[in-house]
Amino acid sequence: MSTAAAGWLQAGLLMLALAVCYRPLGDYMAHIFTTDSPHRKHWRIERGIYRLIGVDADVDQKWSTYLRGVLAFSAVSVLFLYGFQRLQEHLLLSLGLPAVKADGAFNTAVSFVTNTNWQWYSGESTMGHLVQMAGFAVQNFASSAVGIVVVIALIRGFARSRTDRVGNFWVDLTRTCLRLLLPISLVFALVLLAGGVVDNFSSAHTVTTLAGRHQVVTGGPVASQEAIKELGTNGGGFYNANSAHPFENPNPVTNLVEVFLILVIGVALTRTFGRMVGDRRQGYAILAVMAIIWVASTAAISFFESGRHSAAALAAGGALEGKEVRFGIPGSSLFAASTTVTSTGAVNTAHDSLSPLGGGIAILNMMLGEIAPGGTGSGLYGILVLAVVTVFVAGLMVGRTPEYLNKKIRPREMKLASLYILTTPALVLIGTGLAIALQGERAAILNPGAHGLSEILYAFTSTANNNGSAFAGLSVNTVWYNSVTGVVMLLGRFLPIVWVLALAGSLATQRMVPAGAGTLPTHKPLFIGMLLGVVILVVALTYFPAQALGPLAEGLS
Amino acid sequence: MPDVAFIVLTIVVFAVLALAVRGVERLVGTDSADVENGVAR
Repeated sequence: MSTAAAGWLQAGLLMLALAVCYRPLGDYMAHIFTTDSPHRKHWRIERGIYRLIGVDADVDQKWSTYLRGVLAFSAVSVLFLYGFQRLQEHLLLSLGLPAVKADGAFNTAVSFVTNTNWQWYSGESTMGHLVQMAGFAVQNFASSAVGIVVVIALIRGFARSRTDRVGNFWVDLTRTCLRLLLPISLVFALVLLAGGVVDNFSSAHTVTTLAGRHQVVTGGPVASQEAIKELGTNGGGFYNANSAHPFENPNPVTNLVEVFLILVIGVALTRTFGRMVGDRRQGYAILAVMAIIWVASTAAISFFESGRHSAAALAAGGALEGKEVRFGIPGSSLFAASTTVTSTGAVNTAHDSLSPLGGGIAILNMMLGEIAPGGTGSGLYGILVLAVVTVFVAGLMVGRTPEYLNKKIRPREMKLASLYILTTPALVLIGTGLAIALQGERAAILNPGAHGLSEILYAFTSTANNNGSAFAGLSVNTVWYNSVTGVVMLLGRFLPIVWVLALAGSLATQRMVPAGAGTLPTHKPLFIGMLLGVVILVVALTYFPAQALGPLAEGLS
Repeated sequence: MPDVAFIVLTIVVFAVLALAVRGVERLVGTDSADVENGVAR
């Protein structure tokens, strides 16, 4: 089979699988968050959890109380995970590994709690099995659930009227973990296990290779973590090589399963959105924008990686440096695009070895705010904020009333939306500027020129957007980088959540406004086109000067 | 000593976020006068 045919086949199978799951999964998620019958409302195990943590599960919260729940839960999670790593040498299944150093433990704790999973370390030689299972894997579930519950609160803000209640954080969090993430992860852990992903408590073994050399092989509970790693758009690999490691992603079939898991919740959430606001066409419109960006991104990376711009690429039939021959260019491009249009950050190829413009697309995907379909929950709330901006801009341009889903977009909502779209670029550009300006941090760049700038730009774009993938070639394992990227990850995750939940609260208090002659229909192609325009003009152009000095300069030179 | 520094750093960042909530509450909170105990007056 030719490379092009393999690419089309993989993309086709992936879209078919996503289409099959779209309706049942989307409807199921809507059911999870709208079950109000007193007799079927809470599962017995859920009632036990609520009693244990002292929560009145039948009372909805104001947006600010909901938000304080998010922040308190996350703060405690960071401190717990930090302590867990610092005490590693005293824990079971530590494999004799020492405690993780302080700045690294801080960075990693923040990284997993914020759904970033930026990794300065090699998992197999730094973290014991218990830390991986009881620390990181737990946060893979919890951090993903936090993203989902935040967008559910925002959707309730649109769907409800004249109330200041947006749901109960603890109920939403518990239901998301127990009813959604755990069952799907269990099924797909078995699928990956059947596909050849390892799962054991084995420690490091030295084996003799066929060539007579020695190699250290480390096992571990991989399959059980691989499913939630992708499903929850987390991305933190058990191994340093992440999904390029044959124990984590052995063949093209598991590769396709992992890409499917990365996208499935983000895609199906648009159906949930349509169901909960009472107009499924609204979900289809948002899905259309996501699909256009995803297809364009995948096609662009495939195109640039298939190009034969050098003697090596000409001989190999494409830019194969840094790519696994198991997956080839199609499987690598599909994965690279999908992991950066979501907040996953898992990799099956060395992104630093992508062609300059292919790497530029990966950075651009993150800069767009990872909205196609984005991280679990965070992608949808990101694009909904941009939809709010779109109806406001449309109102200014053509004299339409700024309304979205029967809610007026007033100056207050626009202030919150503006804060949302300014926060991440500020973190990315200030962080990159600081790293370039400080001589000691500039020395961390291992490649000179435009590519060196791209490496720093990628690092701060990835951490501020909670992606977690990285260009290699930047020595980030220093106290400065671990501390600064840690703070960037925290602010990049939780400041936007502050604005989004405040927006939910502001919308929920409004009464519904019936659509009139001046209302812009938000389920039609015109709106889809305008939303795409806002994504490109408002978000992408913010970063254009940085892109021009990095990937564009390298690609065009 | 580094442990204290990173624990304090974590607490400070979350304290700043909590302060941001207070600030945004002032921005959003005015309309809440229309609702009491979760329902419209």
